[in-house]
Amino acid sequence: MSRIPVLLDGDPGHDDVMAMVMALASDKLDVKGMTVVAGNSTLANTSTNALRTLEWLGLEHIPVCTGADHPIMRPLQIADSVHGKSGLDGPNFPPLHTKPVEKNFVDFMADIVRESEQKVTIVCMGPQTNVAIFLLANPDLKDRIERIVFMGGAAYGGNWSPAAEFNIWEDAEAAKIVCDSGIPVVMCGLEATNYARVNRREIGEIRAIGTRASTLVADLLQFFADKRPDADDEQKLEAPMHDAVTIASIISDDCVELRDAHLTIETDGSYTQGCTVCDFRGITGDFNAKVSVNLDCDRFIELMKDACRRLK
Amino acid sequence: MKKIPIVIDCDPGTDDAVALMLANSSDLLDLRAICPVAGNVAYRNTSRNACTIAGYLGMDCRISKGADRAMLKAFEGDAAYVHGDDGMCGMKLPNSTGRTLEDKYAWDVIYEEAVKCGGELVICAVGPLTNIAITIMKHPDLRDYVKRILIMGGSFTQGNVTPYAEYNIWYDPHACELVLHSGIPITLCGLDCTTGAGLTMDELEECVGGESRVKDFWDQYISFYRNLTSDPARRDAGERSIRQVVTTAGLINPVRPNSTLNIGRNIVGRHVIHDAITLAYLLDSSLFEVRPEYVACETRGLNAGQTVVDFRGHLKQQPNCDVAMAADLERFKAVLKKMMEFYRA
Repeated sequence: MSRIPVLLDGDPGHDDVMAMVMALASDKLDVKGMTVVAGNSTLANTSTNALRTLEWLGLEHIPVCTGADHPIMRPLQIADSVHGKSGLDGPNFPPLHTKPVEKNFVDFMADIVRESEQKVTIVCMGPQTNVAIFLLANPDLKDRIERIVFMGGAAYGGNWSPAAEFNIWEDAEAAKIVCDSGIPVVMCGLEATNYARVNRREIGEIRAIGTRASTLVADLLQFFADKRPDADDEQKLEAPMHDAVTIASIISDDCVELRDAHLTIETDGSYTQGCTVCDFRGITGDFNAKVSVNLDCDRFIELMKDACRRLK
Repeated sequence: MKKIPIVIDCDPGTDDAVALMLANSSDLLDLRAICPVAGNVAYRNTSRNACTIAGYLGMDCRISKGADRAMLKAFEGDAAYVHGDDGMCGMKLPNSTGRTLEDKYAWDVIYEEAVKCGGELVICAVGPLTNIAITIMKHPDLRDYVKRILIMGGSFTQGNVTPYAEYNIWYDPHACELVLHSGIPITLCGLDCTTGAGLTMDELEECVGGESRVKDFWDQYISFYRNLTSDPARRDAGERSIRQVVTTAGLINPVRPNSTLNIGRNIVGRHVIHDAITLAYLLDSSLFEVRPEYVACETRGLNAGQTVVDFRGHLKQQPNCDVAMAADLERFKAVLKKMMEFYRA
């Protein structure tokens, strides 16, 4: 079976790194490159974090390109309350020795899409700024994209406002451009990603795998565990691995439960700006999306452990 | 025991009619006024239906005039696919006591009754909130005289008009936003609550069927809704109101491993008498659990009419509502049966 060509786009970020590990380890995926966007932290930080991750894993040949440094219509608001000052607090990395490729990020994405034999799957793990600009600039390449799988949104509620999840809230206009593009989208939202959590015992099991990948993932998770010294071994920690759910939904068909929906984004609401409007009844339009409604957490952690074993 | 003085602001509406029937049957309530408003169908129908039901049931409370349109929003349609073109599914009921509207508007009748009741009045609003919003705007001291507003409306998961908006609130979102921020204590009973007490038509018949003074009402009611669910064209329209239920615990406390977030349990084939379930809370407060939360109403964009419940405290506001969680079907059935004892006696 041929591997699915994948373009990663993200704002690493702890959970972005876990998604990278899962994607890079999979024999079902062929990661062609990664674009970086500002979101969880500044573009400088997220770029550095992407490169550090690849260096740590010995996968420096995967090209990284820096993209947009702020949302399309709004100033950047970072989530350092979650990810710390560097955007990836926790692990100790050696000094950086690689650099991003020197290319315009839209052209970088377009070249990957154009040169791929099969249609490319775009995995978007942060605000969708890069992908939206790419789609606006390359209308002729839409039919070369298999689908766009993104972490973001929620069918009900939110985590950054009562009705919005951070990635979508950060750049609602970009998400609207992506969701309304006509390209099939898969939304991995909070109904699934909020359940991608580990406890101390599971962090220990991941660490015990003993690969560089497992050390990295365990260190990242420990950052969140350290914030909750009171939690016992079995209590699930506030350390959701949101972004990795995107990869789990691609490489496994029994981990993330998806439902058909018409999906668009609210950009104007007084209280609901950044809301992913999930219409499971199709009363507002044809189904253009699959939306996550649940996650099998045990299966997800198994997929993460598999990835850590593969990436020696 | 002291009765609770109430006014019922409504848009009859078949489920409004059941709410009125229920209020009339209870010795716990002192129904002071019925205030019709445009909603399920046009005002000319909701106001006429209010009089007919009051006349049919022999009710002697006041019946006011009310708003014939939403505050700002243009009329965009109605819920005739649920309630029939006349709002009462074509029922033939005699206005036996010849009730008519008095020549006073809801905003003055509600205020007068509130003042008379010295702070004890509960406003039970089971239609769009236009009348209530106008009352609040015209009489800013209303809050000193009203104990609580019990509202049927909204949803914190799926809506029944747009993806997130419920009909009553969607019909006049600006009125809802005003009422929510009025400072008057509110119990908000939305679809998440009412659909928990959806009945099959057989269950409904078991509760209300048979000989009674309101037999012709129920015979026509049950026959209409049985046809609605068996006629494919009508059923398709009706299915727009099908919604899903998300377990409360899963929504509010997402830190739960392998939670059974119950999206997808639909309620096909269950008949939800929204307004009566809401009113029933005054008769049996164990019917549903409430949680104090801050709620705002979206007035703009795709989600206009969504009641946004700030379960996680992002907006850093004090709670302004008791938000109702899923209602208990068996308890609601018991309320209906108790009501029928009154009409069978």
